[in-house]
Amino acid sequence: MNHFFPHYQTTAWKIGSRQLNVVIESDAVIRNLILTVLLLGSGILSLSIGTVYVSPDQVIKALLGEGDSMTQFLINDLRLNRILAGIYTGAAFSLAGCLMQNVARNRLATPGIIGIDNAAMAFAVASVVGIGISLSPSHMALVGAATATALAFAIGGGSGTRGYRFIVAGLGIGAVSGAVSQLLLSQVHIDVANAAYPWTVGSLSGRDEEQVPWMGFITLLAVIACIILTRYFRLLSFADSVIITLGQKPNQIRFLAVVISVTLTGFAVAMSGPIGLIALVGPEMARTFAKHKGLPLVSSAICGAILMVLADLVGRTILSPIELPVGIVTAVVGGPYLIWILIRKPKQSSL
Amino acid sequence: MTRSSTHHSSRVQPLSSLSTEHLKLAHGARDIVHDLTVHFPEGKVTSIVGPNGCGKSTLLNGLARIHKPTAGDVKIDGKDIHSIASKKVAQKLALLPQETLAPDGITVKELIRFGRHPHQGLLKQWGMNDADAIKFALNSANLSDLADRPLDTLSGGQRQRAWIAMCIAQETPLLLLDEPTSALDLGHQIEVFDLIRDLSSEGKSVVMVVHDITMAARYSDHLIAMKGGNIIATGSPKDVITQPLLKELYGIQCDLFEDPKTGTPILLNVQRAS
Ligand SMILES: Nc1ncnc2c1ncn2[C@@H]1O[C@H](COP(=O)(O)OP(=O)(O)O)[C@@H](O)[C@H]1O
Ligand SMILES: [Mg+2]
Repeated sequence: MNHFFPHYQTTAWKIGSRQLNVVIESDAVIRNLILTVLLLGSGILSLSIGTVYVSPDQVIKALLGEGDSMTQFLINDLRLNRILAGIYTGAAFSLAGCLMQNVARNRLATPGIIGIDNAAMAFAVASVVGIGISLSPSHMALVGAATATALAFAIGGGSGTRGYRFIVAGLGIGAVSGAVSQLLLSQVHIDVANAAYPWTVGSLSGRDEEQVPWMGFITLLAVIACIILTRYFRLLSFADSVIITLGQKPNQIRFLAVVISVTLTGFAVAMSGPIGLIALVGPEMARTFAKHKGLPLVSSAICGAILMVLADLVGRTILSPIELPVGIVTAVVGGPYLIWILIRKPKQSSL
Repeated sequence: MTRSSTHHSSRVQPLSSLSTEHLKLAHGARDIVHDLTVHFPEGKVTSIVGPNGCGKSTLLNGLARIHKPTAGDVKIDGKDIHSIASKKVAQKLALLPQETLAPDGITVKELIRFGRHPHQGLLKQWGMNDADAIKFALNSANLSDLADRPLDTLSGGQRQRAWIAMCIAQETPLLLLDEPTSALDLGHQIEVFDLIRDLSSEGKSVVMVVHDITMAARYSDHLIAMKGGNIIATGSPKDVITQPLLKELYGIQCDLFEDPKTGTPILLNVQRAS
């Protein structure tokens, strides 16, 4: 009978001494290495395609600081920042999505669905159209994300297991925030509305260059935190009583996961505007790679980055010279993909 | 079914005592358990019986610090559990709740491995005892052949044994089980009860909620009868199970016989009390 259920054996590397050691699942390491190679490939592809084509080997040379200075300037100074912004925000959205889905025990419960993206957007738009708040749009996006989370938890009844109440509360907050953005935009001069436009669709072209390294730093910190904390986050798929029996505090674990998720979403929206579908599709793709086992946080981050880079590439090239915002590409491509995944695997709908 | 637990050294934990003092538990404003003072005998199997909604699960959750008391204490070895670090309590007491929920696609062995969580830490993710404890749990619950099977492909009885195995791997002297056999057919019930007896003979104190009075009587050393959040009788199964008590608990009347093999009471001709 056992051959009916192949591949369920996981091997783990135990590294360290008797007293101090860590366990590393070899499956996860191999999976993430493969995904990283895919990400590097997508990045190089995206760097090579543009108004001027640069062959991939030239791109690699330029990245390593070799080759002619013109190409180096084109790749490292003009194009690289945008790709990095895509990688960082894609990873952030997707990791945030995976964390929030895990907290709510529902794979539709991404920050975007529960209104955090929209609220961040509404606050950013409010700042752009100048309703007399002195914070920059990026800071306002963070404030918006935090506000929406607080509201969703307050209305949804705390961080219990009531996933659906939480989602419905979030849907409402998202809808109201979206309406507020529209209202604000309809009340101002067309030039001001244009300046606020990138915040409403999600685009990598309107980003603030200075922020890119910060985004990278925060995303990296979150990924490291998740690697360390996975051991606790994984417990959230059990009933609260089991988590407590095992000596942990479910609400503390949830709080940590939500804080990381909301911070990532806030920063990512601050950089690229709301691109919520990455948070749904990225983790879904990671779970497919992980054969629907465990909690693939790192894989989610890498998958999100790949999706964002490729979606941005498609947006830049498909109607060239017109540029489609990446948020529209993810909506057009990601939506059907998600529906396909949801109807293809009705059995695995518990998370 | 052959049980392989005799073929390897047992992993006995020192006895621990569990008791409550003037324990009060409430759901919101509603008091469920009122002023309960009780001691659960060490190394014995204690069954809690009583009608639906009388507070058995609430009591078990209170004992496992999942439900905070509004007054009184739960004590392990004389110390209030809420004054002991949660991880330390988890090394003393395991609970299998009435309803369980497991991660997608998890295998039996992975589930059991979670039972080691209280013995591990951020920088001690694998102890020398872990492999032995997991192996012991798999053997005790007779699951060695199913170790790599996903939990959701198992039968109800096998799944319940896997959950109990997770508690076994936790290596606690105290084990609480909330209706471990209620969803199982007779054969699987006996399988689980036998396992519980084995655990008790290895020195664990077991406290469980059981609905079937005959089974509770046969497999327990000690019975606690609960009604409306109060204990109305405690003692050996023979002493506790009487016609007046069954009438008070369930509103039934019946004939009581003695099991010729075990000497425990058997209920026959059960009907509603007039
Ligand atoms: N989460 C809850 N919120 C409010 N009341 C509850 C909750 N859980 C149980 N109760 C109530 O507490 C009482 C005892 O429940 P419980 O301990 O589950 O009983 P038992 O396990 O003996 O069937 C019941 O009347 C039930 O309605
Ligand atoms: Mg119950």
